[in-house]
Amino acid sequence: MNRPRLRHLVLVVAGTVLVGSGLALTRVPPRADAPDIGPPVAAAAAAPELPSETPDAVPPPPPELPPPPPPVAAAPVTVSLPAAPEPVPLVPVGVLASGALQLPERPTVLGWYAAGAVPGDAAGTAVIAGHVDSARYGAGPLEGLLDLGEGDLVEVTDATGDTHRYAVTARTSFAKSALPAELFRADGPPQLALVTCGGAFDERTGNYADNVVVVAVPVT
Amino acid sequence: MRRLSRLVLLPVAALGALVLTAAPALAAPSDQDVTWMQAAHQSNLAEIAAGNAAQQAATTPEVRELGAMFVQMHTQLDTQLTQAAQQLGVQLPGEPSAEQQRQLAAVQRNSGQAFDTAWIAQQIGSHSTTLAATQRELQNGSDGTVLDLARAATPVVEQHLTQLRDTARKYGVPTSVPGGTGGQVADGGLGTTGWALTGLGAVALVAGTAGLVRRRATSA
Repeated sequence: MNRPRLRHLVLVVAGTVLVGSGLALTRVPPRADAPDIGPPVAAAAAAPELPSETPDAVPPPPPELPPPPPPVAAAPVTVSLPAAPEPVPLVPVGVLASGALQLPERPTVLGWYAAGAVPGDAAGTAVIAGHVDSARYGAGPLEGLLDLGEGDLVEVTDATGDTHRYAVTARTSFAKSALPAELFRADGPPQLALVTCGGAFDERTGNYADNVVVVAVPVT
Repeated sequence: MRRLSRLVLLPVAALGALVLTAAPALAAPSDQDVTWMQAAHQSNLAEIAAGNAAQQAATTPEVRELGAMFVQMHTQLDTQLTQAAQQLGVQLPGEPSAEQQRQLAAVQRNSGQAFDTAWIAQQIGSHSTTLAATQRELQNGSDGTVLDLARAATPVVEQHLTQLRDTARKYGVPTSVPGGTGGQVADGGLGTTGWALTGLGAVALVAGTAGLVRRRATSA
């Protein structure tokens, strides 16, 4: 086989490989379309089943001391996400007359839903939400939510310096109109919910179609 | 509600008489005692400033009334604290912390109902932090006078927190989380790269095939 013929054969093979892999890459979805992981969030927010029987092998502690007061957590001030190089500052936020959460304008500052649970509380869902990106300020650290996996650690530091650690158990996308109200309950099992936007982006209205919710449970 | 809420100040008033008549303490308060006194004093100053801001800018009588109540009750708490600090020789800061001042300024950048929402959320955060710090003093503090102050402050702060949460609940849970306006993460797919590779491959494929065909034609 002479050399020009070989050169052309190489071109044909390389071309075929490039066309194939290129077409495959066009199938990779935008990052905003984060796939769901773990059990659906609504199921995670349901009240836990009480154990039917407790094993009686361990004797109960002597009831001499009065029980200490349940620990109360201070307001959260930063949250550390695996993909963000630095802890992200938090501010307490509430609900506007429109029903919308009053989120900080910049994606680099996140909101803690103050009427819900406090991170570190013994019960209830602590909600931290923010803009994934902004037309004015660009993308923020919450874009990392779209890449989180089960078991990834999220740490919240409060105003007294205590750190509350959580491990990711689930990520679910909801159409914005279908965000479950149970997410904002201050009772139920203790957990952390991180909420931002994802899905298709409407250039005309400047809004995403979905909310992406990542749920994490306390790590002791 | 106002009359009932003032009842929690009765122990504070009684403690005031006690502090005034007490002999100067023999033992110096611990670092924990001093840290708590300074933080509690700054919290009182911050709540008084926030209460005054609510009376000026809040849109609902409920929030204005909460502001007035906070001014009155934190002034009374702080009077006892300041007297005790003088007796114990503890230096107190002259103004709220830089962070507390920054938080109030951020709330005051809102107007109308957005002010009320931001004020309630910020106050839930600051009272949660005060309660956690006070509980820490009750667990780790040592000076009897300072512990009495912390014990007297606890039901006052708890009551404020309950009333703030009750008020926040009237705004309902969030029905929407507007988590992004930029659309950057929706552009994160590999479509462009894929099509570029496909184009490059197609060029190579055509060139290679053409070369092979030409060679076969000339050699035939």
